[in-house]
Amino acid sequence: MLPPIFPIFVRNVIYPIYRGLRGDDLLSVLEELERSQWLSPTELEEIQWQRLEGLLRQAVTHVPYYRDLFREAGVMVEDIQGPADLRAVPLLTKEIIRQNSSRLVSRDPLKKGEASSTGGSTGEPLYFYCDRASGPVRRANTLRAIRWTGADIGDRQIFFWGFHLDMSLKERLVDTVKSYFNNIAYLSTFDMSEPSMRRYASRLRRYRPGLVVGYPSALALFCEFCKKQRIPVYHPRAVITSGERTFQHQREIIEEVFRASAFDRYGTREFANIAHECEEHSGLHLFNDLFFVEIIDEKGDQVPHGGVGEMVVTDLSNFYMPFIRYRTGDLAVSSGRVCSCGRGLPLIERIEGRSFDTIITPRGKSVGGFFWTWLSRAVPGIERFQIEQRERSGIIFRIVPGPEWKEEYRDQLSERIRDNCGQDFRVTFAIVEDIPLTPSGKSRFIVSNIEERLVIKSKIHKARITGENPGGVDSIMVDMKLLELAGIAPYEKVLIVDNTNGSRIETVMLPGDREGGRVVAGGATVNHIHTGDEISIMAFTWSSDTRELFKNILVDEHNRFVRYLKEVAGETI
Amino acid sequence: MKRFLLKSMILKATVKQADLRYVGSITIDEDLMEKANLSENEHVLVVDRANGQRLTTYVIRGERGSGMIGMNGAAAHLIGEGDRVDIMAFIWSTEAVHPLFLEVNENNRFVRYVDEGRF
Repeated sequence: MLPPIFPIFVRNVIYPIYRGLRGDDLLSVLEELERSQWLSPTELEEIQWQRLEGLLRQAVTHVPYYRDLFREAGVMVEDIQGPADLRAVPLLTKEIIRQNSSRLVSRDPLKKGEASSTGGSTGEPLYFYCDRASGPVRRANTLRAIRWTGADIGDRQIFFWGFHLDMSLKERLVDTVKSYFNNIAYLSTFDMSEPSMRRYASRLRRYRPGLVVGYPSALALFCEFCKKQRIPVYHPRAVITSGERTFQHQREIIEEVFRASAFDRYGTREFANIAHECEEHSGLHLFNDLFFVEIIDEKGDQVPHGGVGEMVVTDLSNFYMPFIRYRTGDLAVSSGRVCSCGRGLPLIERIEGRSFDTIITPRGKSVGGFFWTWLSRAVPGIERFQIEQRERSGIIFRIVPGPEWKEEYRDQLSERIRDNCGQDFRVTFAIVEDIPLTPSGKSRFIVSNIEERLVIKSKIHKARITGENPGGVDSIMVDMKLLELAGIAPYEKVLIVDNTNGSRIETVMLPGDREGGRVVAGGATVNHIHTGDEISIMAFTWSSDTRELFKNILVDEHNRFVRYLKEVAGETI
Repeated sequence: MKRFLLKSMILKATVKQADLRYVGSITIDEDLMEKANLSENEHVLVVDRANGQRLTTYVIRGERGSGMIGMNGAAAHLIGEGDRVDIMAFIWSTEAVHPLFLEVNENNRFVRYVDEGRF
């Protein structure tokens, strides 16, 4: 491995040459951004509003999706005079982008885009375009924020990060070369084993980074380990925590072990950095010279100061594929405070976590991050928590207790959960010391491990075949009343097993006369199953509900309903 | 496009019981169910290495640690006690999967996960 380059060389030689070769105006954009951050909130809002209007006009003129959307919603750009009017523009979601990706691209021949995608760590990746002109703006914005931490262009940076698993070999190679000349190195949070963390610590000592960037959970884990094992840790100028919510205890251990201030950063792959903490450490400044950020509740209303809401972002510099009112799925606490640093960029209190992860109740209701975040504060003493769902019927509620935690709070929590999720919803509490990280080294507060499985949902047990109809369609015809009791639809595919001779065949169900108890084998099925045979009829479905769904009925020798069955291994009937 | 893909396979399990009178389908030791990521009532394909029979049915829970693999009801016509069977479960997915292949001993105790190439 090549030795790292001196920061001063990167800053004063490589960087200006590289920018010159690319022909972009990154350094002048940076200058501009560093000036505009000191404008008053009102001046900044004015600039923001001008840019927003420009974006809306461009979108309606050149982007088919927005042209149709505004027309259908009956909205004119001229009608949008302030933030309240913007609510008339429907929200943009990942799903809409997937379905309309080509219609979301500007037809303006002067605009150029670059393809990009999200990593897909939380599901399917999203493919989208960035405006080529916004590239230098985003990079300049990152540099502006890095300077808030006391670091500078060219300072070595080490990232504790989930590796770019989605990159091709060529992309990785390009990335490696770029990273080298930009003085950036990566340590993979996919592997936080003890030998690896020892390796990371010695890498830090050799690399001597000015800045350490990483997921707070991974950094805290690393710091705790080094502290416990008395492994010396290099002290960077500053630490940037990003990618998930930072908890106070994580910040404390990170600052203690790195002996540096921690700065929270919020960004996404779609937009790069949206908010960043400054040297006053009193919340995160929203970059509202580049974005229009709304924090809204489930009804779409702006939340009051101090309230939790989802961040909805409009990117003011992507004209190629405009993101207007895009749901990030991230929850933030809004703020009405003004930062003492003197910058006019408004504050948010903090990032709470993801809202897209939801819990599904047995009746199909989706209960999102809002509720669980609220719940975790409904009683005192919950330091951290995680909700995991493995089956539709309930959840596991993991709690890392604080000093104020009391056992009787369990009942209060259960009651509130059942009020929202149904009285039969099972809640299993686990009081734990720690909450494990995901394989990528991140922490998540809602984990849905529900899987859809192919499961049996209907069974008619011990039916008798009363007749054969070889000339009819290939089918089994059964008394409609039994079908209803077992929850089988007419023409549903079924599996028939013949208890008399062992045959197993697949065919379709035909509805027969109600009452009378007729079960007739039709078509080619008569080669396998015969009048007088005892059979069971089964139907399957895809579901995450593996138990409650199953309707298993026992019938007598005249095919009359006896009762619902619950099967236990080794039992006879 | 969603595909029907293999999720897990219990290899060369030994049938410990085959009884026409018993309710249900295939009984599987709960420990093996967990290791193979199988749920109660889940659909499985069972193939008999001894006689070539192949059948689909669903899982019922067997006592944990008992090593039970039991063929119940009509399935006992086709698969007998002492036969070696492979048990497969599938998922419906757009993404590539890494199925679990479970090696078990003659008492149906889990030994390890194996690569399909190594078996």
